[in-house]
Amino acid sequence: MNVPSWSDTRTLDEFFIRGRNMWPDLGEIDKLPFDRSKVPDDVVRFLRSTALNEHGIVHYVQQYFRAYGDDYKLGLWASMWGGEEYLHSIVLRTILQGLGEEISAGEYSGLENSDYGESYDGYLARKRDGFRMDARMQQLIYGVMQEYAAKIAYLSVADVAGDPNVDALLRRVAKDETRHCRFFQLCLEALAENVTDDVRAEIFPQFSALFKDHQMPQEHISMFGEYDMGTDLYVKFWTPAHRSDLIMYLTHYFRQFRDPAWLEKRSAARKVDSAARPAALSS
Amino acid sequence: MSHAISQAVVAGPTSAEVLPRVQHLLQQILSLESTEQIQPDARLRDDLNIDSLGMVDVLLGIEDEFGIRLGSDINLLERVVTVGDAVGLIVEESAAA
Repeated sequence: MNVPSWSDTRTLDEFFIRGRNMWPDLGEIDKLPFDRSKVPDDVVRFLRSTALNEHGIVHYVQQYFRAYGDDYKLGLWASMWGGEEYLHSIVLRTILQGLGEEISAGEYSGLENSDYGESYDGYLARKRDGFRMDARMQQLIYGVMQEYAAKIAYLSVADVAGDPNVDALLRRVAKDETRHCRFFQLCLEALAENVTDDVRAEIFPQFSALFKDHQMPQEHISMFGEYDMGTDLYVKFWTPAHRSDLIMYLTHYFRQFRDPAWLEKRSAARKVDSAARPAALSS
Repeated sequence: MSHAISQAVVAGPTSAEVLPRVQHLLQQILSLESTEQIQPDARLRDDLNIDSLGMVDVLLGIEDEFGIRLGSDINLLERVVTVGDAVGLIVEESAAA
């Protein structure tokens, strides 16, 4: 059974096209002026870390495929998602070059040769201990959380970026991450329609389990720690307002699955929507 | 029904009514034997050791207990530092609901 309940690829297509339309000027970004004197050192370190992190998609897409199994449409999504994140890497590396910064061979090597899979799989398996849900559902829950956290990360740094072009580009990446979050939500909701009540009831507890001592993907690649570019670097930019946003948004989103009548309400809403199609992707 | 009573019903609960319910809620979340240390000036993070995950429980508990929905744009961590702040927010949001 494929997770998305829609019978064609319209939603995937719509998502993909919106993504392409977000970056019509991708080839022009290297012509923008960037002023290194305006950009704090910690922001440059963040840019370096995220440029590498987005370059690490092979690890992350492989993880998705392991979790999604033979679900073909989620495989399509994983493939598309990987391309979009690589696009972010291009943007971030272009900014770094404009600021006169280069990523070292050692950093690339540390990223590409990491033992990410074993570490990350083990982390998620431990978080799933005692739950009946499969790795696919857990990965979608984690995806919603991680993409929203990524949005917060980019926005929080944009707030203090100093250079207006860096600021604007980071906000655009954040918007992309919001779109990714929405797509994970659509997939999670479609899957939630096709599982038993007791498994659906595990979604909020699994969110809580993942939220407790939440680990971002880079936690499982030792290079980030060795170069002092781990999660601490990301969250240091988060103000109480950013943290509140994360807590409020995710809690409100995941709490819907605690409702025993969730499936009935969703079915009723679908009857109203004669197109029987998932909600439009938010941009 | 007099106008004054009608307004009181619409206005929602008072701080004095909300406080013991908040104390009971936090007692449950924190698995405390009593509400002794959950006084209005107690700080959620620093005195009661409520972390980010704990704030998820607090948020859900408040919304369920008082039948309100706190807006996602509320800066919860700055606005609700103490138990008294939580009470004030609930009174305010209940009145607005």
